Amino acid sequence: MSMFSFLSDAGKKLMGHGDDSAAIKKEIEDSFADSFEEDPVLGLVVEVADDTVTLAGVAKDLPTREKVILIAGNVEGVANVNADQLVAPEIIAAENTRDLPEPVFYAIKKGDTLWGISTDFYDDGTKYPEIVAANIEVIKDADKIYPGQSIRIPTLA
Amino acid sequence: MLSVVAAVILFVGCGDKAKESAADATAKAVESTKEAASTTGDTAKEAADKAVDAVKEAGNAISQATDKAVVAAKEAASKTAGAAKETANKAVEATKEAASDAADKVKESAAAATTAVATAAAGAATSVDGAAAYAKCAGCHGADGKTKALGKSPEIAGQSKEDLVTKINGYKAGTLDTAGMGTLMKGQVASMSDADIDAVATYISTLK
Repeated sequence: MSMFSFLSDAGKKLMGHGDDSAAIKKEIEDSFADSFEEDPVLGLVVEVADDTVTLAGVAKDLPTREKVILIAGNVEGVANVNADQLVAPEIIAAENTRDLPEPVFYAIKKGDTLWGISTDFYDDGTKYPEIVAANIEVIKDADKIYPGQSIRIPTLA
Repeated sequence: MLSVVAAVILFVGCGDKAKESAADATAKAVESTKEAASTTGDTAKEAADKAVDAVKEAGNAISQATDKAVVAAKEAASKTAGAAKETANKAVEATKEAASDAADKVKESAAAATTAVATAAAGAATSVDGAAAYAKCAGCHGADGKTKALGKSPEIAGQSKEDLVTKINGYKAGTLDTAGMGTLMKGQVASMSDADIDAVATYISTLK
């Protein structure tokens, strides 16, 4: 099971204005359009049931898959993202998906700094640009990072 | 620190498994591409042969990367716990490379299949729509329809056209959920018209 938990009381206010599934799908597509990424997910399907979002489709690669999960999870009112049916070429290729690295997500806390997060995960604060670069579509605006927002912590090359 | 060593030892096991499955996948891909070649004519055969080479190369790269990972992991296990952590990280990197190579292989074989199919379609006007429409399916289901997509799907090659039309329409309507992958399939067939579905079902039913 690829189920990811998020803080439902934080995030972008998109839900409750009609079609929640369509609103989240649009948010995902718009996020990637801003960075000129074409077709991040082939056949993207978003289905919202209560506080759980189910995602399906073929993501371009593993980092894209993680970003899509985070964008959906960072919507206010979303507590869980089920990504069992959100695949990527790496997943299709790996008959044994246990061989793939698990995504590392981190929910930002009040008082956190990028330098501090980088120090916690890499023992090196100077690596924080790697975190920013890995979350372009998720953060979008560095001035709008907020407590409760989840970001991905990439494995350093 | 003991757990690091344990993890490394586990990792050695996984490395072997990854190698086996990579070798299997490559063998399957080679075989299926060859079969595809024999049924889609000379021009397609040429394209398919290229695909075979590409897949073989990818397979070798995976084996090498996995070998490296296994060797690195074994070294790690024999060293002190402190050094083991560092080497384990290297092994993880090597495996990630292998995974990325495998992903490239999937992309390449899908691209090769698309080329082969397009070439074949150009030569056989009657199968243009179905073969072209099948190109995007090949990434998971295989150019010959014999890959168990994600290790979960049944082989689709040679199923009857009627069954295939019923199933695709079931996915489109959201009423069919084979192996819990119905939503994924729904997204893939959502934009297909009845004519597209008919054509792709006809094409899949002829795959052997």
